[in-house]
Amino acid sequence: MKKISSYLVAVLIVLSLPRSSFPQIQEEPSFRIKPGIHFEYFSRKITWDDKKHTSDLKSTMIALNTELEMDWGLSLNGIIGFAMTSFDGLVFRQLPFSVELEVGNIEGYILGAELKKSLFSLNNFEIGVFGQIVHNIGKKKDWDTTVLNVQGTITGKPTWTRASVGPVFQYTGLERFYPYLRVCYNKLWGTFQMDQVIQTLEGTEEKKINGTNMFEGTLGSIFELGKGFSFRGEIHLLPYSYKDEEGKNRNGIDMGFLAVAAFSF
Amino acid sequence: MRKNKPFFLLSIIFIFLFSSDFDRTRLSKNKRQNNRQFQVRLQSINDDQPFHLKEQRYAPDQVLVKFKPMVSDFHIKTTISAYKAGTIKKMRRSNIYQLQLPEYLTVEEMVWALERNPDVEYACPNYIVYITAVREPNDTFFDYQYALRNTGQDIGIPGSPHGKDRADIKALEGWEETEGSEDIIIAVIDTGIDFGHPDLEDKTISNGYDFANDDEDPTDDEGHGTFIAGIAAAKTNNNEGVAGVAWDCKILPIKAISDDGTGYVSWLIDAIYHAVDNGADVINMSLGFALGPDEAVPSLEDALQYAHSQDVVCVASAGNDGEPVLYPAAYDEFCLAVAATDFDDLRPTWSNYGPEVDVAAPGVRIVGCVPTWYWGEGSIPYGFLGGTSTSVPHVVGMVALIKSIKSWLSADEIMDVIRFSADDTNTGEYPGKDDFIGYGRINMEKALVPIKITK
Repeated sequence: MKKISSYLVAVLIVLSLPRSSFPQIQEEPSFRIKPGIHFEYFSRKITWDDKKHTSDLKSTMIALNTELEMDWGLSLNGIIGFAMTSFDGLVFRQLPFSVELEVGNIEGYILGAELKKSLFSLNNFEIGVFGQIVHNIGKKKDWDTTVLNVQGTITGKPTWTRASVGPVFQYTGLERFYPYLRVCYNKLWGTFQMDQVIQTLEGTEEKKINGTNMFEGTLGSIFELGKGFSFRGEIHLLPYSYKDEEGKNRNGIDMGFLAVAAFSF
Repeated sequence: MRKNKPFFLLSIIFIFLFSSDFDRTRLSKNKRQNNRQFQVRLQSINDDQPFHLKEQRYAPDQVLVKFKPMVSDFHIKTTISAYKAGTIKKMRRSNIYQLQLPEYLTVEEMVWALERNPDVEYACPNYIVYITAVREPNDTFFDYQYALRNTGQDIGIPGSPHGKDRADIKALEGWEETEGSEDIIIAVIDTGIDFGHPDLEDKTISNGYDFANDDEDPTDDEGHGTFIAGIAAAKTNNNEGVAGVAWDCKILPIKAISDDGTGYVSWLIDAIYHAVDNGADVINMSLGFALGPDEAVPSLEDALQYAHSQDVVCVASAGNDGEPVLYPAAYDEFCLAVAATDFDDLRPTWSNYGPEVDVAAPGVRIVGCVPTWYWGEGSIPYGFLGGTSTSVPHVVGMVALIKSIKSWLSADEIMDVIRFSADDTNTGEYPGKDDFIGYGRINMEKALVPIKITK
């Protein structure tokens, strides 16, 4: 008890000190809030069933984002929005009746966060670090089985999460146009739960999916189009490599693009 | 830069010409080894799928090549000309080019060379697509097996009856998913089996048992059991005889019918317990007997219940008398009762009926194995047979295939998969489940192949 009291006194003393005692917060950072609209499309080669099978995951996202830009080179970005994701090609063989998904886009909500921190500048180059995580919660969707001689329902519920982290190299020597290159470690993972009820038959299969890509190269640029209005565009290239069912190596490049229009005040 | 442009272009052309020569050098150096590799591959294809050999697998003078996305059109054109190939066309909505080969290069050599070019994502022959690309066995009498694949062909010699296109159990489509597992055992409780039959040799897991003579030699002395075993799981794709429904599954022969075509229910009961205790996954009972309204054989029902509790699926014939369903098929809870259909997907009037009928399967003019001694010396050991007896092994084979890929399903679940996937072929007259063909004629495609869910 005595110990707790002495901690409490210490905290009170610290809090009661004049602010000038803290040189590191003397220059209080000023914030800029930049709300914007985020539009993104990406395609990923995914593997499932212990990497035995592959298919494509394609997603189109539209979201609102709010960037909090601080003078000391840190910016935090919150993303909330809506996604349409296609998992076509997934096959569920652990259900009483096997099913293959050919339904096109499944709606979902996305929630994400982004962090950028510039570390140092060298001539007209700025070097920083970037990290992003986006999570998609797919809406539950029902489909009727029409090929059987009895009625049945199949319900699917997908989720996916995408994370990337890596360095950013930005050229700041131009006016109103700031191109940058980013090389990130990238990971995508998720699940697709499928429930089947056909009269007396019931089954559930949860399929774990994983992206085959490890690295993501991004070419992007920020365009300051006017006072308080900027546009950010990015092209993402993600090389992938996996072994197909016959053990043959398959290589390729997945692509994506991003467009963000932001206002600042 | 403008001044340097011709020099730059010349450099690129030189690099490609050089790389082309380099590839050709490697080709010639590796030609012998490479040819040997292709011979080996052909040999292995021969072993695996001999029925493909007669057919041209790909265009002899064309390859398809996909360049990496960042490679420019100019670069692609230069590369193609460096390989002395011609462009037939660039395929729509893709970066894939269909190339015409120079006379001195084979498809294999061109693919080999292109795959080593860093600008190429992949290259492959221009394969020929056949509309009958499903796995079709090469067994001599497969064309007569309308039950497995019905194209409306003559069933037997020309002039024999012919059926309706697609009035079959969709076996070819089902085999695309599985041809069965050697771990799945089909117990055939019948007159025994001809162990020396060319389509049944090495298909049995053990000698089985003969309850009719109480010994360990269930050799077929009547002929029926050999026929039934062949429908369920004859050796398939062996250039001989007939195709079985479950190609790779094994047979446990149990004799419970003597040489006069009859047996006792006690033998049948013993046979059921023997099958279950010796690892059977499914039991074929192409047999039956009638019971009066006040009659029952509880011990038979107990045996079936025991099998069911061990997740062994029991399948039995409805009977061929145009009367109520026979026993054991009529023990509805524990046994699938199978009626017959013909080559037009119609029910023959002699097929028994009743609420116990679960499904139907082809049972008219079925071609199958007969014992080697049956027709006498010099004859081929195959023939035609009809009856719900021959319908049952089609269902049994399908159960074995389902078990091969979904071993976790219970007997009840497999029975429902069989029922719900059937085609209601008499829906115009009797929509839904009825007393004549139950849920309908079985469909291997719907039961085995993933169902496509569309919007």
